[in-house]
Amino acid sequence: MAIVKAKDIKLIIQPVHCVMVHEYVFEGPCRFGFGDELTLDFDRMNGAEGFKLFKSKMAQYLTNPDFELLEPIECEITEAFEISDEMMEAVTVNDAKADCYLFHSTGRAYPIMTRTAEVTGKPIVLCPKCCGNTMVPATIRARGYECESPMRWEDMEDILEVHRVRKVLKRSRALLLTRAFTNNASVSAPDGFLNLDDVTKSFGTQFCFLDIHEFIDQTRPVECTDNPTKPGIRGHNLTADDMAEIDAIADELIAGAYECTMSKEDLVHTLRFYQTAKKLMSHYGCNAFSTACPEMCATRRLNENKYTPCLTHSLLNGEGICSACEYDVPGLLTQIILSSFAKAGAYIGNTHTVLFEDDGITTAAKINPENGLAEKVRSFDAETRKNLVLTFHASINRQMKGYDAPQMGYSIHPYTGSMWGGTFRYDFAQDAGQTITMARIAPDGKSIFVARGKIVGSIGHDMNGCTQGVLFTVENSRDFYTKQCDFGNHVPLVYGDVFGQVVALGKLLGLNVVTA
Amino acid sequence: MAKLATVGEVSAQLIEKMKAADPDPAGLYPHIKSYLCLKFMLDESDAESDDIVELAARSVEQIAGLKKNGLQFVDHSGTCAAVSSAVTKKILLLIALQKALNITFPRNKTADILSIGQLCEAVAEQMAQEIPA
Repeated sequence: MAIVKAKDIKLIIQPVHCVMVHEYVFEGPCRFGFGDELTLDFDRMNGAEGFKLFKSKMAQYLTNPDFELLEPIECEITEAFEISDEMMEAVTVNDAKADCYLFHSTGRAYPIMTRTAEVTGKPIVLCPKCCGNTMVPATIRARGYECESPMRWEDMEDILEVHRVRKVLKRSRALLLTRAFTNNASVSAPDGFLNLDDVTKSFGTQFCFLDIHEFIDQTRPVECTDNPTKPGIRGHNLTADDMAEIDAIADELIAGAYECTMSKEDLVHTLRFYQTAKKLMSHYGCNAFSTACPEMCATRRLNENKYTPCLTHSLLNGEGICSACEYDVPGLLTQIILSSFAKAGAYIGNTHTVLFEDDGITTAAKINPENGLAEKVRSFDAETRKNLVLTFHASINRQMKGYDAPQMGYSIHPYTGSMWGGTFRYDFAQDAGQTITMARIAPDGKSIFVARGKIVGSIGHDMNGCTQGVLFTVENSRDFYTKQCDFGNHVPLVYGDVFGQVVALGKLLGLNVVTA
Repeated sequence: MAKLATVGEVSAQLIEKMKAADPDPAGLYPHIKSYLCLKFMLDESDAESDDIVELAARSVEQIAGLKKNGLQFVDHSGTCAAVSSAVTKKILLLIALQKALNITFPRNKTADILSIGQLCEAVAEQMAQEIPA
């Protein structure tokens, strides 16, 4: 089964053009005109003009390739304002496919829109027009359904994109490698979601759990019934073909790197983890991934097999399959949101406000592992040091500037002191001045934290371990820190400014939106 | 009143010419263009464009004493159907031709009639269908 990548999920829109026609010639307080203007023929011809205008506006303003427009439907309502079952069947003929209904109307066709919301429960989106654009959303929203009413056609795509990303969350199924927790929260991400069932209810995202030991067993290229955790049961162990593919990937990665400071043999070990993750995601119909890092590390099986998951996260994120460090499921969902809006791979890491006191002492000196951060912070000017934040983890990806953009240059360094566990490295300093957007969902799943930053520097790009990081400034680092304390450690980020879209999605999802 | 009577007479004459003309777009073109100018109260020498809505807008501008292309800044729909003055004139022209020539334009085609040339094609097509073999 092919993995359905979040980046390939489209919003399917059903356009509907409603025309109100008058079967009888008359005038009154809501209708006036002269001669043939009051005829059925006139109303229908006018409706045809409106339909043509609707199609031309869609062609002009709905060009995002992430939207799929179904064949527009025409619907007529008379001055009797009757809505028959036949009319609704015609309007909703593609309901199984449609994610939302985009309504354009000539005349007072509001009852059709309200009925469509009631019948389908799907969002109604109005084209900019007249007083109906406030009346209809109030009508529909008051009844518990969703209705969007952009003021301008120019705003339409942004609104629909927010609905698309919500759909991406609903279509996401994460493969989570887990191990029995010693306490009531994972050590990897104790600031993770309290209850994943609630998350599925709120966000629609599904989860598929797999025991770490079963996973590691299947990273071995042995007979598929020869797994200690499931003796005699057919697994999805790596095959000879998989090993050949891994070998080719290793060659390609080494050839494309500025430098590679580890052996190909050890890189191949690292890639066995990646290849198994993809095989099992495909098997379980998943399109997102995370694994409990410390819990897995503590089994010593990673050491035994020379695995670290960092490169798996890097490669998956670059391919459009969101992958979060350390079983951080709120981080994973936030990566899905950010990368869907930015159309680029997200970067997740420990996010830490770096204070610089007047006496020259900086909290950077207290961050482990040692990576020259304190000296770097001291080298910045006072203005930069004032609102400095660091995000670090050895899981950068090569498509952080866009899935369709050229791959970013990278080096390959080992994670461990024993020189195994491949990781990508990137010098963020070359992107100084670029805007990034960050977000994180709270452990209770009821709030989302959103912030912007500007890249100012890089650390650990020429080192081993978890030293790799990006330094950036935010508007007010103390405010950022205070608010972050309600959300947690990892604050995933993407290149570009998608702040407004994330805020809009937060509101659409009914979350409390906290900005910094 | 005298002017209106003259318009009525001339338009009736033009309709007769259309009926008598070869039922092809080229044969109909001069009569339909004259008919349009008559209905829109445009001097044919001012009707260089072939675009019906543009000519309709010019007509409204002249009648309302507006500058050329000034209609777009002052026009607003008088009804909830959001129809512009120029489109109203276009539709009324089509209805007038339907009545006079005893033809019916297909409902899904009228919005695609943008030029006098396309109008002539649509009229010719319908006249050919309406005239018994």
